Amino acid sequence: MAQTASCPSCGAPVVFQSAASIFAVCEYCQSTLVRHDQALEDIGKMAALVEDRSPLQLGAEGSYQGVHFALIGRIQIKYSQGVWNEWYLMFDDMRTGWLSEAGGEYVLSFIEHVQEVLPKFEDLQLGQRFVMASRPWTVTNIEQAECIAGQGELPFKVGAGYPLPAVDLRSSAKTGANFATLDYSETPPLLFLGEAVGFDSLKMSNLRQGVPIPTHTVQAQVFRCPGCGSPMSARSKDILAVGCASCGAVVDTADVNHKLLSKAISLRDEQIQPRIALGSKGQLEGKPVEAIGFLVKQSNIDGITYDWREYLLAGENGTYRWLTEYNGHWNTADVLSRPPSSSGAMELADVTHAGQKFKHFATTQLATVIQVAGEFTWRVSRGETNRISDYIAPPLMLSRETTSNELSWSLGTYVAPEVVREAFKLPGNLPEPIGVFANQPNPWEATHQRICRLFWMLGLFATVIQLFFVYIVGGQMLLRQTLDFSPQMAEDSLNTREFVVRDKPRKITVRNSTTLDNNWIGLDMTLVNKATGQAWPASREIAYYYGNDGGESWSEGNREDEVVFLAIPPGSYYVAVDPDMSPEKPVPVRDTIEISSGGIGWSNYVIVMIYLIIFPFFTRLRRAAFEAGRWSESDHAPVASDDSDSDD
Amino acid sequence: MFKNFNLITGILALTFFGYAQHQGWNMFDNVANPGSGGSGGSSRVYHK
Repeated sequence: MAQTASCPSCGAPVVFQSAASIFAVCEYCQSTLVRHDQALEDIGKMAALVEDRSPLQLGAEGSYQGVHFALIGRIQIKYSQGVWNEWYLMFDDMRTGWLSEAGGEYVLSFIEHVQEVLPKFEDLQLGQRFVMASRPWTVTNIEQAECIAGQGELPFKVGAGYPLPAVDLRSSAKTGANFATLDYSETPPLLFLGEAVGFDSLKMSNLRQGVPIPTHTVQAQVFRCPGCGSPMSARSKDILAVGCASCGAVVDTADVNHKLLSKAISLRDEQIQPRIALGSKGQLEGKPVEAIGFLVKQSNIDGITYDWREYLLAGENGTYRWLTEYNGHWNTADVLSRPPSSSGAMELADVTHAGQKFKHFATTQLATVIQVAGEFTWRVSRGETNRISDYIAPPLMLSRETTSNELSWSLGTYVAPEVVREAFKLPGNLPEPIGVFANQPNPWEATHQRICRLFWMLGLFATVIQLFFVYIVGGQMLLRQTLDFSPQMAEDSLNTREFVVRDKPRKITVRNSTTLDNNWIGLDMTLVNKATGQAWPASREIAYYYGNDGGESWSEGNREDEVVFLAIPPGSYYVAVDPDMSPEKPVPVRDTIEISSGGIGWSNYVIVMIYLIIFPFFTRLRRAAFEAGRWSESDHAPVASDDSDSDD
Repeated sequence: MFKNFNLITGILALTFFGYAQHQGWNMFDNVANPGSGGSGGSSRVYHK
């Protein structure tokens, strides 16, 4: 139940909604008050809060896992890259928790009391992995932060300058807490466990009015560049660094004298102009964004310099996104709250995110910021370096960026230049992409799949057609007759019985099966239309020899032979057979002659299948060529042959 | 364009295949009258 006391300084009512709260800041006179049973002790004035873009405020309400909560207190913490808010929550079930808000990312956590000894601050290193509270954790951030202001009621005593060494941990566990903070402001340290939450999922209400950009400009600063005198602005105190678009100097906006974080770019160095002008507003994936920052990064690999451009986009509810461009290839990127899981050594092993496997593509040992323009939420400066490892599952790409004290993951999605052009209504066309980008979707992938489907469909049709002709249409036996040829026949010929070809011109197949035994026979056959006398001659020689040579059996030729007459018109026919027998071996030969119409071969089926398979074969080659182009730019490119490596 | 090209050429191939099967063409046949069309050419009148 809420307790109300009077502020010893101004007499205004001070409400303690949580029994766990021992500290409050009078909202009227900013006195910092410590609760002692029934009395409040005034220990001085609390420093003013730094204004920011937060859409949250004291009294805002929301719901987490079906339980309603309210924001009853807040501390602002300053760290190397800016300021973040820790909102103190009170739930309807009397639990208290913390909602961390930094750079548009929200993490909800609860204090966890564990029996195990927590690691010491100085023992932890960025990227270090260990098990705590029965979960695997990775150190993602190590900060020597300090509290700069408080608001509302809090469960501990704070004040400006209150040191807050903290280590952030992320877990890739699929369920439960995936975020932890070790708070070293007390001994032993405090452990907070929680998870990243989407702003929308909290169903917040009673938010600050007018915060969603682009209309939001809270306490915007306007000042002149100390480098060149050009006018500069920062939309809010959330912006910690502004790069001068004219001279390239970078200014620390949190410093009252606007000290330079980076000097102006030398006149000899050409500045790269952003393709998306700063201040441009657009709709990216259906959500409003505004391009507020532009930086150029560069890396040098094997003596070759690569540079790419990154645009910081401000979205709704204090969120931020990135747009990156390299050689005409564009990606949207969002910072991940849950790091991907890895199967082995962190750098080269594949990683898994949201059930999808990403392959390691490349690691850039040293990426350096070479140009800064516009507004940034951290103290970016030229010369700032980080290490980047990319993992791909086109069109997605995971990037692991490491600085001296922070490790972060972001998920990029490849977008076509037209999407970017349309999103920001850019005049003219953007440059055509050059080469193959790491996570560029393979345009031949879908084509190959479609062509494969088409191949199977047409192949099935061809098979049905073939089976139809073989089994339904088939061939029809017209005559089967045995003829005996003897050497004494000399010039005589034998005629078969008559047979009838019906309906329409047909293919007539004459098949001879002989009893040849190490012998040959020549057959001069004539297919004769009995009515018209029209005749089609065919001469065949049939030979069959076999034997045993050095214990190895051999054979040559065939006892059987087949000859085809095409387009034979309907009518009554017979075949006149004039044998030519071997004078070396004058023995009788029996010939079984079979005459049939139709008869379907398989050669056309084989040819049409070969023809059809050319298409998927072609698209498969093109797909492979695209992939080869992709991976040739990676750390896993096939090793090219080099004469200097030879042993000669 | 390419999509239709594949489909059209595939259908044409199947049509030609069906026609060839209907005609009884076979690449491996020993044809006695290879020049024969529908008119029954390359024949002669038979005299005993």
